[in-house]
Amino acid sequence: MSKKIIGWAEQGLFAVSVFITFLLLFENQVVVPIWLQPVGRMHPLLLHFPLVMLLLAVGLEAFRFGATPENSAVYKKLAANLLLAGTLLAAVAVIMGLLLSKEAGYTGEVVVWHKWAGVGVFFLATLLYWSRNKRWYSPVVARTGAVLMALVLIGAGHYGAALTHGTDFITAPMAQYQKKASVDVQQAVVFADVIQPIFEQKCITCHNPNKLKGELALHDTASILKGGKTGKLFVAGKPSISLLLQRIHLPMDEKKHMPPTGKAQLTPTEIRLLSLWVRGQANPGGAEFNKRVLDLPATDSLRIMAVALLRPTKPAEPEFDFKAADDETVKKLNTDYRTVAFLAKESPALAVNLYNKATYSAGQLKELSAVKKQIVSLNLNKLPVKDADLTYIGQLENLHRLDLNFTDVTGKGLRELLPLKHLESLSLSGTKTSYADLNGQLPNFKSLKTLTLWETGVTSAEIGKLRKANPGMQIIAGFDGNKSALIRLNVPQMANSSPIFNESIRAQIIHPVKGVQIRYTTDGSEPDSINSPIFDKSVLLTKPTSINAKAYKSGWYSSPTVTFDYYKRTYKPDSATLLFPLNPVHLAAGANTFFDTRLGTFTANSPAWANNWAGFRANPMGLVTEFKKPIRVSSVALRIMEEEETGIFPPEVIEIWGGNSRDMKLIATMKPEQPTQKRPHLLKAITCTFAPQTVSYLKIIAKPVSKIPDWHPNKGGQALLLVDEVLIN
Amino acid sequence: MCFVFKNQLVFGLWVAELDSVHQGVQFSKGEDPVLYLRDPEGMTRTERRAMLDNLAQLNDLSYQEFGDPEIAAKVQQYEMAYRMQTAVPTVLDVSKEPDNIIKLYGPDCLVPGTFAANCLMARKLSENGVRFVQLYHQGWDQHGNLPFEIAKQAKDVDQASAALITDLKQRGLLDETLVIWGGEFGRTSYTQGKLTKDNYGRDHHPRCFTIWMAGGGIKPGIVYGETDEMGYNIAQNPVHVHDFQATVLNQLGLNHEKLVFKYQGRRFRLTDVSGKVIHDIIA
Repeated sequence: MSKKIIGWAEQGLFAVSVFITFLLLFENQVVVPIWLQPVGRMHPLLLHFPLVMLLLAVGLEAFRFGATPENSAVYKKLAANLLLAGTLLAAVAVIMGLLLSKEAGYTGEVVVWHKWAGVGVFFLATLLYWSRNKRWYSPVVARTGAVLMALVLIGAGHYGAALTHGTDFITAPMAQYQKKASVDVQQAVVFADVIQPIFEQKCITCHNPNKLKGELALHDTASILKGGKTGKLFVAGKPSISLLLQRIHLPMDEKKHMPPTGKAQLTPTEIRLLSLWVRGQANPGGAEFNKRVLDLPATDSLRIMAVALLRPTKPAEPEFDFKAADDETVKKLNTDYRTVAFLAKESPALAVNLYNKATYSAGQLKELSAVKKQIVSLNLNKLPVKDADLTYIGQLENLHRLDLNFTDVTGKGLRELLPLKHLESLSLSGTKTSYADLNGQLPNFKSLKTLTLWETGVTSAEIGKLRKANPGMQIIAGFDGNKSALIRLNVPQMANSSPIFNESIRAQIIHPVKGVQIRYTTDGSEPDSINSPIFDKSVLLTKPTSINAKAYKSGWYSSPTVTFDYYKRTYKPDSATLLFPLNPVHLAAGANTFFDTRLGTFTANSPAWANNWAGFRANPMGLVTEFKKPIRVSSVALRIMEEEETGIFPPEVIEIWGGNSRDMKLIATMKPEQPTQKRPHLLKAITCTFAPQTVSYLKIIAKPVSKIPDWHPNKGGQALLLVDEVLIN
Repeated sequence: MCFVFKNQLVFGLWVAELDSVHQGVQFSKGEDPVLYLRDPEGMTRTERRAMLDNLAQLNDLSYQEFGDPEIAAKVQQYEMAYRMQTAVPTVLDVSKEPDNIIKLYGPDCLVPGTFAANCLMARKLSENGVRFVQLYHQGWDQHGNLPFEIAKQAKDVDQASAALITDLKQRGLLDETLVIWGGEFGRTSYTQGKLTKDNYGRDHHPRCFTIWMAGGGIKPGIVYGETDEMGYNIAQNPVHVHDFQATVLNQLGLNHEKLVFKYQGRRFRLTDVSGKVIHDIIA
């Protein structure tokens, strides 16, 4: 390098020293114009150059006296130039840093330390450069200077990094791990153990007292409540208008999206937790800071999520330290009413189930002593297990779960279970367990986590007391029908195998719920709970009848009204034939369909063709029936389905032909009523009555609607006719 | 569809690869879910027992004479049939369920074939050690007439599904029983067919859909995965069918990568060559 350039550089160095001193002295009066701010922001970009150059230069300095005469000139020059360039760049970095520090958000101890360490680097480097050719500059001085420089550089770098990444950036992964493991669900506080860790992991590197981005700090409650430049962080109870949640919900490419692009983003769970916390379901005041997780109601979403989050992560499969029993023993213990099975593949643990009340004996439990170490789960529900039998269970030293639901045990027998040090789940639903027994003994079950007490003598108030006394236990009270909202009864059912009868029928209408009263009417009116007769077992019908029925029971809402149609068919033909083929998808049982007493049904889940409906579309229905003994007939009815929505219409016209030979004459013609607008589906019998006739042959012609009327979306199309029974009277 | 698993693997309708010993028993939907368990009319249980005892003696005589092992097997089969006759009806009998339970599941649980009755039966079976129960509820294919039908469908399953979980829980069975509720595909978020105020439909939509799980070591109260705002495609945390199966197997105590079985001369894995356990939903 030419002497001239070095001269300029040395003068420049003097000038910047003065400038930096000036900046430091009058720091408070300095205002950085906006156009200069980008220069300040290039501080993190530039600083790595002087850092490396200065380290190299002082390294060279430290060993400069050991250099041989041949290369010492080059060596000296290189060290000198490197030191000079490094110092100049350090000066630029310092100026940039000072400009940057004037921006909003840089306050606090770390900034101060970083500033003075950085300034120290510059002045130390200048001092070294100035003194390196002095007579007193001995190897000792050079080496001391090098070490000092390295230390100050490291210091400046460390505080700088702390500013950008946060103070415990490097140790954070370890700290996080340790913290997670140590929080106990019982003691966990919603804010401190669930919400604050989210801020700490995802927000605090930029929002801390040292780096107040947007004038916001999230390191303590006071700062969180204070909010930032744009305003308060949240409105308690109203996540949708809270700034915090607005920012995290903005799309990624939005400038104001938080955390900024490139930084670790919030997970959906974290977002949900923050949202629930702000909503503060438990308390309209919202966003409380000292509430414990378990103080929230059991059904609170925040509590459920927090508990799931805090629960220590257990190994997927519980580890058992005992050896597996030999297969032969296990096989021998398996009987028709006792299964002994391995809990999982390759697990030594066994689960045992006993069945069948009639064959149960305490001996079955006694035999289990052969595998008493291996049994971790035992299910005895609904067996007549006595308190005395529990002594055998007390020996199953590794038992984790025990199901005694609906057995004959009482709370007195519980002490037999005390030796079970691993018992985690105990089910006592439906047993004669009393509060007094439980209250005294529960605290002795140290590892018990779940206890079911549904349908026991323990009242809900007593269960409340037990919960309070044993906060580590989940005590399940279960469903209480007496406290639930009233619900509606379902409709009564017809028990007759078919509602079609010949002479008379005993109508049987039942209800599956015990103690239900069925009231009915036969005149088409709505049954009521006072005036309508009570349906008692059966009612004799001799005429076709529609029964309206409704179910009542105290403690329930009455059922909707249901109608049961009973149809009379006096004559069944000796043979029946169809003149034209059926619609190919609705074949049912051919001509026999109409006399098989099986009614078609209407269900959303199974189509008409699977439900006894014979269909006609391209051809009319032409049914010829023959009676060996002439009959006196005065009416013919077709039971049909109408669902205009899917194009199923009543027949357009019905013709009845009759005679004593196959040569029949027209007896009656009828045009059934047609839907004239949208209406729900219905099943009905269309009856055609006429003057009594004596016939041996009867022909029934029914034509499907050939042109669907104009009001219908499928106007002009061919309708479908569905018939399931023909009633001849 | 609703599945209740209890610690062990069994198979559904469409997977028929496992040996027949692993196949399920299909219950019929009428009064008698398992047929021919009632005594014939006019025969009491004591008479039936006496008849079987006599028959066994006669069979034993032939066995002494001929030594044919088939005879012994036959006797065993009669005995098993008798055991089923004595045990199955008590397991499936809902007539002794208390009012409390009827209210919990809704009164339809006493009407054979309804989803509520099936849920109640699922609990009873599960309680009695049956390890896998699969319930079907059909009629969700609303390409049209959705507003009317979907309300009915939902009413069929809503109370009963909640009741099943509550009932398992109050018996202390929920943590060892995995309840899975879902279908094999979803429906579009937009309509199909003519759109009027009270009539429209939805088409099949296999790209993304939702199922729920309860109990069996699954984290409660969380939602996993996300669609785009149209509900058209998966946006986050997709779960492939094999991932789902791997997760279920994991909860049953089986490693899906190690569980290999041989069928028709080839070794199979239940998750084919893929699938990963979704640890984020495991408690």
